[in-house]
Amino acid sequence: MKELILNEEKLIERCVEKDRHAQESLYNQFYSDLYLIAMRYLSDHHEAEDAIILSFTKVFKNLRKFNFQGKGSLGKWIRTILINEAIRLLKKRRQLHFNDEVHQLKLENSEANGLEQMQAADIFRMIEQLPAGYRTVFNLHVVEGFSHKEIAALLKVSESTSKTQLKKARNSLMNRINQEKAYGTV
Amino acid sequence: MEPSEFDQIVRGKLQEEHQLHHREIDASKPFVWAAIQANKTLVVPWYYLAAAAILFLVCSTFLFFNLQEQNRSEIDFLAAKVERLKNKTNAVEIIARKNQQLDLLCSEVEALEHSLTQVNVNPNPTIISKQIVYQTDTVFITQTEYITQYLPAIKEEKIEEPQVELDISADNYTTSDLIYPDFNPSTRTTPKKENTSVKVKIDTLSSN
Repeated sequence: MKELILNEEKLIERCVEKDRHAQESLYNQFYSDLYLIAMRYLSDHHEAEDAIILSFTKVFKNLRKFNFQGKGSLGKWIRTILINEAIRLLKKRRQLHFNDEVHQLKLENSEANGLEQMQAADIFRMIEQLPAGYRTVFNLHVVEGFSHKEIAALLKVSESTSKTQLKKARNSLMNRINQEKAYGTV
Repeated sequence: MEPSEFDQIVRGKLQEEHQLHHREIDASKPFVWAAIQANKTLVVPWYYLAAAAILFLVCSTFLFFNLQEQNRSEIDFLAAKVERLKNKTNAVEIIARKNQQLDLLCSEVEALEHSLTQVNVNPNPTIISKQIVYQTDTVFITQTEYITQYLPAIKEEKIEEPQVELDISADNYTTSDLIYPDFNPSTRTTPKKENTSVKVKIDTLSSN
């Protein structure tokens, strides 16, 4: 019978000692979250799987170097690895295109109620349907909390491009929400 | 709505529990784990690598020496073969020389056989001329018959010897010679010179 390892620090120690059960436990603990994050960035099942495989390989390889800083630090570290892998895959497959055209963008729907009434899965699906450039910047800034400077450094674009992409992403997302609301699907 | 408000609502919604992709997650989980296991890089400790390197070095050295030894033995074997072939060539040369000598000897034997058959064909010496010389003695009358015979030369070397021409004609003899055959040896033909021609004295009329 498999032992449930609840202590994150102990889990890390045993993973470092190449304990297969501990490694599987760590994988099971983070797989669902990582899959959803990968889907948010890559919006493709197979690419998400590839990103997770590469990320966990890196995690198990570099876990000895990981500095444990309290509960949640391991999850944050693993998520950062996954996001980097996802962006690397996007760059590798030349899916990241940033349009620098600056338009006066404003959110069409100013009502917060419509957005709040939406299901999480619907918002999630809408984010997945955004173009790769919009989706990436939106995820990095809104969900992960990266600043435009960090995003610019990570994606090797200018800060203004990051800002523009974020505005476009918001606008596009709001348009989709309005459309769905108009068709009565939400 | 302010952008920050929009972002906050979206962030809050994404942190909520939802069932999106739960089927894909459950289906792909074991396969992804298997792929991670297969994708794991094998970390080999440095002492294993060092041991492997030393083992490889020892093995390669042993192999190298073995190959060298084998090559040396092969070279020795080939050298011995070459030496043997050289000796064989010498033997062939000796045999060829001996054959030449044998041929020469055979030809000599043939020549000798040929001469012997000639001798056998003419067993009796050929009479070239016949002279009858009468000697008058005070008491007895002696008739001496000189017969010049041809003797075939048996060996060629003997032919090369200086040949003394013997005057055997009756005109060269004086009366005194005929009466006293032993008186003047310088002008007389010596019957002892029998190398080429022999004068045989036959006393057919001698008494007592």
